[in-house]
Amino acid sequence: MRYFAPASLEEAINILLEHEGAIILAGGTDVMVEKRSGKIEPSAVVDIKKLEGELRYMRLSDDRLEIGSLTTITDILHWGKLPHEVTSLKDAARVFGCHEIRNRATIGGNIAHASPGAEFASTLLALDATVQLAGKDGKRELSMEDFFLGPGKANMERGEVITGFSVPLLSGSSSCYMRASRVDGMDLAIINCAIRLQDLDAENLAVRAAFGAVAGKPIRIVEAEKLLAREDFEGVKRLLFDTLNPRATSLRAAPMSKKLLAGNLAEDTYKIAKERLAG
Amino acid sequence: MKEYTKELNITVKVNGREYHESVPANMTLLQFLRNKLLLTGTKEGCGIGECGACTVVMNGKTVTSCLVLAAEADGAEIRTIEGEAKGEKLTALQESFIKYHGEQCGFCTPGMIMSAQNLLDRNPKPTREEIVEAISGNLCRCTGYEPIIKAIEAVAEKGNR
Amino acid sequence: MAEKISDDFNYVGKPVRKVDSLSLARGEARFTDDYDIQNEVYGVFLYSDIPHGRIREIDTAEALSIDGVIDIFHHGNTPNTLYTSAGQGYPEPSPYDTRLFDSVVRFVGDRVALVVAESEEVAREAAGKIKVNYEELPAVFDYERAEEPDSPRIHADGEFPKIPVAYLPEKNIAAKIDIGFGNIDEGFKEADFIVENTYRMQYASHCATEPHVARAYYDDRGRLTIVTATQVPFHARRIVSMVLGIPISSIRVIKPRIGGGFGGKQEVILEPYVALITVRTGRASRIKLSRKEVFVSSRTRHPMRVRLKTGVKKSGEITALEMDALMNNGAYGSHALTVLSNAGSKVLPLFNKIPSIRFRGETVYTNLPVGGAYRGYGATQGYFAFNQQIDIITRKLGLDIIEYCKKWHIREGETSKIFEALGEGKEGVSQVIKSCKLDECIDRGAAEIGWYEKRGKRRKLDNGWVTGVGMAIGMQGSGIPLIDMGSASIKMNEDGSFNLFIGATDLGTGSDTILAQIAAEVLQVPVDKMIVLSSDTDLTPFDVGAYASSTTYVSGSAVKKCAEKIRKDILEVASQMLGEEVSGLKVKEGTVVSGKTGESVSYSDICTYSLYQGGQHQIQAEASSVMPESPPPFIAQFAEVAVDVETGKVKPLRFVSAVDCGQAINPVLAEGQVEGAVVNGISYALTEEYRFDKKGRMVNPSFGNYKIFTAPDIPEIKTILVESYEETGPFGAKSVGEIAINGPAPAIANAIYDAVGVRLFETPFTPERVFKALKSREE
Repeated sequence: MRYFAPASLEEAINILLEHEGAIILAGGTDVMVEKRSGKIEPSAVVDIKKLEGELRYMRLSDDRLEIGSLTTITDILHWGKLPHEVTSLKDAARVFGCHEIRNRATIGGNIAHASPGAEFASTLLALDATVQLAGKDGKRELSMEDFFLGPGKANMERGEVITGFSVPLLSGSSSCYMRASRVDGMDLAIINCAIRLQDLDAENLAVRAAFGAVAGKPIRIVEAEKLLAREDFEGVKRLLFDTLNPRATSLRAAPMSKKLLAGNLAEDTYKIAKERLAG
Repeated sequence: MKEYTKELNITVKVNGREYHESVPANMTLLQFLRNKLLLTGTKEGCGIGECGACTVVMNGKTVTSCLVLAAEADGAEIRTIEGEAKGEKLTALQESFIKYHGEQCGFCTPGMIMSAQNLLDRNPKPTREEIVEAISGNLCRCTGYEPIIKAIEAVAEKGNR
Repeated sequence: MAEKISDDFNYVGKPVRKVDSLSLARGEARFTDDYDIQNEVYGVFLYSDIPHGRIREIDTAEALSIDGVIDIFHHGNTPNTLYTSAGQGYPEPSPYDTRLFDSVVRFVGDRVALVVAESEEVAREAAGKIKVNYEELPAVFDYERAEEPDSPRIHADGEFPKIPVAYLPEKNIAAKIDIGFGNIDEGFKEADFIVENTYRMQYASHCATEPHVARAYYDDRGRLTIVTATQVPFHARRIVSMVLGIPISSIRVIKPRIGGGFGGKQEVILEPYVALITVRTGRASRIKLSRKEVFVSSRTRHPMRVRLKTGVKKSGEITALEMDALMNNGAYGSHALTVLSNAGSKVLPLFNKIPSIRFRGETVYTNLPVGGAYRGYGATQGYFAFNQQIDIITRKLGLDIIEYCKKWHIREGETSKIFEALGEGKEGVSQVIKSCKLDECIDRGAAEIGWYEKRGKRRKLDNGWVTGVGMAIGMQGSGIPLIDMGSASIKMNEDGSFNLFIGATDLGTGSDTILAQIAAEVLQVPVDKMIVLSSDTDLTPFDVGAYASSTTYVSGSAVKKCAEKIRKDILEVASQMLGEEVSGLKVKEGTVVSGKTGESVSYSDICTYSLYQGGQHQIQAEASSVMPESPPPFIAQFAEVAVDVETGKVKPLRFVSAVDCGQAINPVLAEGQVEGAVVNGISYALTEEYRFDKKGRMVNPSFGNYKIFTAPDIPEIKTILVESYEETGPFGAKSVGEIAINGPAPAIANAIYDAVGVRLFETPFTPERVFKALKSREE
C-alpha cells in the first residue's frame, strides 16, 4: 500500500485517477476499519487532510449553510453558530460514534460510504441538502436523493472527491434527527429518522421525513410525510409497519423490529421538531 | 512481498519528545507507539476503533490510535499515558483512579485516563452526564464503570490537576 | 487454623489500594503483549470456513514461498496428542477430544494451520494463500437436535475421555449427569399443582479487554519460557508438557498483568502453539488473537436449556423438583461435565427442604464455537430458570416472594444432600452451612430498591414506559472442595519487608492485594511491606489458578497459614533477642513486643539478627491449602426496569445487590467484583448474543455488532456487603468473584413481568423478543 498526502484538490484527483484501487482517506473511521478487517485492500490511500484549509469549513451565506466535506463531527457538534433550522445536524453529531470517533470522522466520509444507516445521510436528505463533487471534468452538484444509489453505492465517479454540502435554511423551519440503537454508548443506528418541518401558514406544515437503515439507502417516505403533517401518528406507525421492507441481513435488529420502531421514532422525531418550531 | 513496506519519514512529537522515524505506509499510530517507540502503555483491544483501549491525544483531541496511520501523524503532537505523570508525581486523575479503584485489570485504564483527562482539560468541571459521554467509547468489562465515573467526578469536584 | 485473631482487624476489611494500581495508572504495568522480546516470529492461524469436514489435502506451497514465511504447521506435521484445553485440576473431568490440529474440522473457526512468519502481516497474507481441500460433512447447529439419530456425529471416531465419566460421543454427548434423592414421582403426586417451564440462555463472549495472547522463547539456559495471558499458569505448563512431550522441568510459565479473564483465560488455548513454534524454529514467538478470533475461536459461555418441573402445594411447599439441563458445548467438550453439573450443584441446595430432587443433564456437541468456563459457570444458567420459577410459583399462589424465599432457603447449621451428590466430575463433599446471612441480604436489598412501594405498581413514566421490580437470590461456592489447591511462600527481608510468592493468578481482580492484606494482618505490617509476586511457575509455588471463586478462600487460607508460620519464626527469633518466652510476646505494627517489659524489637532487627547474628537462617515458610468444604456466599439481587410497551425495549433503571461474602478482605475490591459481574450480567441479559448464518458462521464477531454495555448504559447500581464470618475461611472470608453475575437475567425477567405481565423464558431480552411476548399475550 502506498500513502499519499496531496496538497491540492487537483493533485488528489490525479493520484486517484493514476492509481487503480486507490481510496480516499479522510477521518479514517470507516476506511481504516474496513482495511484492518480485511474488507478492502487499497493499493494506495490518498489522505486528503492536507486539504483542510480548503474543505474544512462551515459558512452561512444567503439562506444556506455550506459545510466542507472535511468538517469533523466534533466541529459540527461544537459550532456555536449553527442555525436553529438545522439543529438536526447537531442531533446527528451528538449520537455519532463516540468522542474519539467524532474527533476524526468527517461529514464527507460519513456520506461517501453510502451506508444506509449513516447519521448524516438521512439528516442531509431531510434537510434537502446538495452534495458537491469535484473531479477531473470539474465540479457537479447533486441532490442527496440522486447521490445515494444503494448499499455502499454512491453516485461518484472514480477520481471524484466530495468537497462539501449546501443546506438550505428555510425561514420558519425546524428539524430533528433521532435514532434507535441497542446501547446508549457507542453504537450504530438500528434505524434512524430525520425530519424537517416548515410552517406554510397557520394550519399547514410541510414535512420532509427521511429514514435510515430501513432500506438499501436512506429514503424519504412521502406518504409518511403526509400523515405526519396531519399528526396522524397511528397512521404513520401503521403505514411504516405495513410498507417498510428492511433487509433481513441487518445485524442490529430483525426487520420486524425495525418496522415497529420506525413509526415510534417518526412520532418522537416529529414532536421534537415541532417543539423546536414553536420555540 | 507486497508493498507493505513503502517507508515514509515522519516527525512526531510524543509526550514532548520529538521523533524522526521511518515507517511503513500501512503502520498505524498504535503500532508506531507500541512497536517503534516501545510506548506500550497504550493498548490494543480490538484494532478497529470499537473499544477505546488505544485512545491517545493527537493535537489536543482524543483519537483511537488504531484507526490513525502513523503517516497521518506526521507533524502531530501526541500525548499518551506515559506522558501523564511528571516523574514520580501522578496527575490528580491518576491518583483518583487509584483511590476509587477505577482500575481492576487496568487494561482499559490508559485509554480511560486519556479520554477523561482530555475532557477535564476542555471542561474542568464536567457533569456526570458529560463524564459518561466522554468515556462512552471506552469499554471496561471489569468495573461496571461506576468506580471510573466516581474517580473522574472526584477530580472534577476538586478542580483539575 | 481459623482462629479469629481479632474482631478489630488492622489490614483486613480495609479498602487498601490495589498493589498494582500505581503501575496500572501510569501505564507501566506490563501485560503479555507489552514485553520487548527481540527476534520474534509471529504465528497466525488459518481457520476452517466450513462447519464440518475432513481435510483431504492442505497445499502450503504457495504460502511457504512468500518471503518471510518460516514454516506452516498443520495436522500432517505436528503431534496428534489428544488433550483438553480446559484448565482444570488433573485429571481433568473434560473429554480429551482436542488435538493441536486435526484432520477433521468441526466448526467455522476451527484451527486448520498455523503460519509462522517474520511479521504478523506476512503470516496473515500467507494464511490466505493456503489451499485446503475438504470433504464436507453434514453439520448440526441446533443443540436441541444434536442427539437425534440423523444428526451427524462430531467426535465419533476414537476420541476418549481421560477420566471415567459418562462420555458418549456416538450420541454426540460430551457429558451426562443423573442424580437425585427422595421419591420424585411420589413428590409430584403429593403436589397440588405442577409448574413446568423451559428456559434458555445463549452464547456469550467474556469480552476481557485484553485479547488472548501468548509468547514463548528460550531463556539463556535453554529452557522454554512462556509468557501468557492465563488464569491457570500451572495447568498451562502441565498441558504444554503433555501435548508436546517436553518435560515439565524444561518449561517456565510466567503470568504477567492480565487484562481480565472471566473464565476465558482458564483455557490453554495459545500456549501449546507458541511453544511449538519456539521448539521447532528456535525463535521467540508470539500469537495474539484479534478480537474477531477471540469471539469465534476462543471460548464462550455455554448455551443451555433448562427445564424445571416443580410440584407445589397450596401452602407453597415444593414437594418435588426436577431439573433437566441440556448444554451446548460446541465442537469440543471443554468443561462439558462441570459447567453442566454446576447448573444443579450451585442452585439446588438453596431450597434445601425440598424432599425429592432429580437433576438430569446432558452436554452435547454441535458444529458451533466452543463453550468454556465463564464467570458463574453453569450457575448463571441454572439460576435464570430457578429464580423465574420461584417468581411464577409465588405469583400463582399470591405469596410474597420475599417472605417465601426467606422461609425456604438453606440456613446456618443446615445441609443439602446435593452437596454430597454432585461434585466436579465426581461425587461432591457433604458440608454444613456455617455462615448464611441471606435473610439480611434479602431484607436490606428489598429496602434499598423500595420493593414494597414498587412491586406490582406498574408505575408509568412520562414517556409512557412502564416500570417493575424483580428479585433473584443465589449462592455459589468458594473453590472446589478437596480438589482446588493453593499455596504460598513467604520470605523475610532485613528491612522488615516480605516477599509473598503466590501461584494464585491475579487477572485484574485484585487478588494480589487481598492476599497481601491477609499476610499483612497475620504479621501486623502495612500492606506495602508485602512484595507480591504472582504466578511464575519457576518462582511461585503451585496453585490451580484463578477460577471457581477459589482464590480468596483457598489461596487465602494458604497465605494465612504460611504467614502464621513466619510469625511463629519471627516470635522465636525475637524470643532469643528479648530473652523472653514466645508466649509472652506479641506482634504489633512491625515489631515484637515483650508482654513483661514492654520492650520491643523491630522486624528489621529480627530479620537482620536471623540473617547475620544469631541462629542464622532465612526466615521463610511455605504452606498449601486444600479445603474440605466450599462455603457458599449468598446474594439477593433486585432489578427495577422500565419497559416500552410499544417497541419492547427494556431499560434497567436500578440494580441492587446485597451479598454475604463472609468478611470482605477488601470491601471496595469486593464491591468491584460484584458491580463488574452485575453489569456483565445485565448486558448479557439484554443485548449480548452470538448470531450465526446458515453455515454456522458467527456473523457479528466485533464490538460494533456484539454489544456490551458502555458507560451511558449502566443503571444506578448499589452494592451492599452484608458481612458474616465464615469460620473456615481466612479471617472469616468466603468468595465473591462469580456470584453476582447470576442474578441480573432472572431479576430483570421478573421485573419485566412485574411491569408488563409477560414472561421471558429466553435471553437476551431484545426489543424483538419482548415485543413478541407482548403481542402473543394480546392474542
